[in-house]
Amino acid sequence: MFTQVLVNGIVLGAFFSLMAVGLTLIFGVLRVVSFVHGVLFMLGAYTTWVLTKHGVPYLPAVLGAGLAVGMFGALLELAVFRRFRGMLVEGAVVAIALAILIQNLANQVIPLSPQSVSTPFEGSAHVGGVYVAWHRVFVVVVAVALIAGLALFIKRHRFGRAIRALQQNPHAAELQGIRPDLVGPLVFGMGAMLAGLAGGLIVPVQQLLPEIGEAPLLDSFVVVVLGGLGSVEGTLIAAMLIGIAQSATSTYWTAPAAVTVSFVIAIAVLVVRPQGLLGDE
Amino acid sequence: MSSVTAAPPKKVSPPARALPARATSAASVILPLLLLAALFAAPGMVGSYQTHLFVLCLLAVGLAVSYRPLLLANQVSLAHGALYAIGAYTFAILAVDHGVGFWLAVGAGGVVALAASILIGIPSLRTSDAYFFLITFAFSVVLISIIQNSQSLTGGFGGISGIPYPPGVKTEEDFFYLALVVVAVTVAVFMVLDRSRWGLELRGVGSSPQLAEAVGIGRKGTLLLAFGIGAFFAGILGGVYASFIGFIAPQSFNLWLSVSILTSVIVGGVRYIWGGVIGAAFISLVPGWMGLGGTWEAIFGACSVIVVMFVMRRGIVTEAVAFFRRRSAAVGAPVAPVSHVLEPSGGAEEAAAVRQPVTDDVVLDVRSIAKSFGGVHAVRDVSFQLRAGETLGLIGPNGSGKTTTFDLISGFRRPDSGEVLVNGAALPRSPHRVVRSGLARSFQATSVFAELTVFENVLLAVGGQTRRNPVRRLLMPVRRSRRERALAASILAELGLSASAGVVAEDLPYGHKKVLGIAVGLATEPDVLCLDEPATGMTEAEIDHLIAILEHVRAGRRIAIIVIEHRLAVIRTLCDRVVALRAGEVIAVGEAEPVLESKAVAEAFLGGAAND
Repeated sequence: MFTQVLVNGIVLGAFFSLMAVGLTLIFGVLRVVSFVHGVLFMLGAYTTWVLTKHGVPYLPAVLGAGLAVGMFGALLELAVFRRFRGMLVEGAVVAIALAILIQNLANQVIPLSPQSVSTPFEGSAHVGGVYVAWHRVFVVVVAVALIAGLALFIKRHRFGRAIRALQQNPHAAELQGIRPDLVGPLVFGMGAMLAGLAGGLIVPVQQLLPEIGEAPLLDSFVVVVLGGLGSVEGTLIAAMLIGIAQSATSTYWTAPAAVTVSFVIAIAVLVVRPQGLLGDE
Repeated sequence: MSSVTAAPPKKVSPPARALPARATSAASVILPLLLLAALFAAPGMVGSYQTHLFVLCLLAVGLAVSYRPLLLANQVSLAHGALYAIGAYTFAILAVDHGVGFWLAVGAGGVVALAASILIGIPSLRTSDAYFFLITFAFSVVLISIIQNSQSLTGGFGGISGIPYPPGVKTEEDFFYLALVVVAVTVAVFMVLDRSRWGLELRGVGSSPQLAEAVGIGRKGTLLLAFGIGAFFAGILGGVYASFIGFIAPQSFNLWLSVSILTSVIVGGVRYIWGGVIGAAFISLVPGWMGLGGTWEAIFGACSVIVVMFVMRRGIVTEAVAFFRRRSAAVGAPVAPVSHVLEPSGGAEEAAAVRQPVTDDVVLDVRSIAKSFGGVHAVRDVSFQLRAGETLGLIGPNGSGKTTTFDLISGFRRPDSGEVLVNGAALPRSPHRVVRSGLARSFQATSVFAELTVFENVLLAVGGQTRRNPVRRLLMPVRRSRRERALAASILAELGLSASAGVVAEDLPYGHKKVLGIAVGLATEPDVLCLDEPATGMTEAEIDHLIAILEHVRAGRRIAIIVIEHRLAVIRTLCDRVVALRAGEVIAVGEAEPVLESKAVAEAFLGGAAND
């Protein structure tokens, strides 16, 4: 039983980390609180659904959804968030308004009834009394690969180093010839792509409804608060902790209380450590 | 609309406003009363459906006005709708299940919402502003989930029905008058708060939280007060709403509610209280008149925000006031021109001669403080003393730990080891308390509240040393505090800034801004004034003025000054002693001239070139 709870928690945590890493990266580099992450997730899920309905196999469909949402995110940065650079409050207000606008416009075109998408990874694995659906194993593998790839990119690639430089000291970075006007859409686009992929990855195991992005947005907010805004390592640890906490709450108590319990944990940690687990001051 | 501006300084300087202050204050009473009278006549003239909409509009106005103080301090909360829900549910549970009377139940709603805001505010207002958005957002969603799942208390998804009208209220029209009274009282309370010292403090925190701390305003306490007072009124309005609608369910309080409150204030503009009123009326009435509902109402609200943020960032009312100001200024009395010459009152030239003597009283005692950041020793074993009336220079190349030393002695950072005594007492834990022990500091970059006028800048810092009676702080208009105004005016006169009293600080010429930074520090009436690069970026002429001003300042009072400066002319002329730092350590201490001439200092500045 306990092992099962732990495994479910890790699966959940891997899923949370896709959204939360994007949020924390966008905040850390661009100082934007991306309230649009929920609708980006929703768009990823619906794009996947539309593509599979038109005969595209599931895997290319998810990939296409991730790329499309990523480009949309980059576009949002260029068209909107760029104007509010360095203005935390204004940026957040615009992000909230955009999220509401996109969600309500989407409601005009997407079906309001539940939809579903099937996965090539059917059935479940069972090892030593622990059951995990193969699709969830796939989600974990993809999440780990994506985040490892992202970490490598940020550490090694020229662009990745530019991102880190910009995060640490925007002025000095600009003096070194790093152009924030390129890094902005790149970072926002990567964060959006992760959200879009997460949306595409969830649809085979969850009913597709217009409000599908709301819960992941909330969960990733809680994760980011616990891990420390701007800290990728903190976010990953927090994603696992919140995943396990929610899994344990659902199993030993009741599923609707899971989010509440994780919120209370995050708040309790903040009382002791105001900057979150690994956040900077 | 010019009726609601913060009072321009009256006696001190000719107000740079078109309307005289007395007319302004009369208009600010008469206009709302006229509006109120018109609203009293309203139900007779419109149908019952319109009356219903008007009640909802009134509640929206109350919500916007009670939400505005947080936004004034540059904080976005997404919990205001949730706090409203807490008030509504508390009222409904007490009134329906326990038969509690109307006013008692409404008041209880306010108190429970207040308690919730404190619970959420304490952890979330501690660090970066971004946490406050995230946590208030999460709180709103989690609260709805709790309401949905507490079947026995809240009726779960089904909600609570049969919520009674208050006794004596029979029709929606009667209720309109009740709501009108409640909302009018709410608006009146927030008008008083807006003009109080606390209202000015909120603007200061919004403009520069760090400088606010440095002049004795605790950021967290000031914000918590805004969150709590707003929550109390949101809770009360929630009870009134529950009674009016008669049925409440979780979906009445979805996130869109909090967002629409935010939207109202953003669209109307946060600067004036009428921005919230007009914004709320716009957002709550216009979609209904246009026949928009549900999804399209949300789209309308979102588009309004986006358009406002792109086209007129300060909101409709603020931009309109600015527009009419400009017009009437062009037609009527000319706005006082910004003087480009600083004229300290009293002969600055004789000042040096009558300078107060340096005494033996140690006002600042720095005892081997150290601070490292991730293995780098920013400051190591730094000790020095400062006596009353003395001026000390702190010099050293970039990165030698000068500003870190300032941060340590002004409480913005805690030393890893060592201690700092101000007037013989250990340094308090938070920076705004350090001011009360008699030490003020300026900052290298932003040492003024950019959005406030010159006079407000100084007024905000006046009496940073004194603890204020909370009732006076919240309820007494700033303009009534004669002693504080007089002190602010005299400091402006002393530093030659009187002519610019009504100018917004960010519009000042650069040199004036730097001098205003010193005025802000002086206004806290410190025993020790720490100036971080006051002359940086100034022209030679401005530096001469600055030196004259500082000589004048210390001639008039028994003040000790520490100044960080790269311009050695400033150090040579002003400082009795100099402490030279290199790589976080003291390399020379003593009288100015010998230290400046010493080999160690020359090497530190020229990086070993002196050896050649």
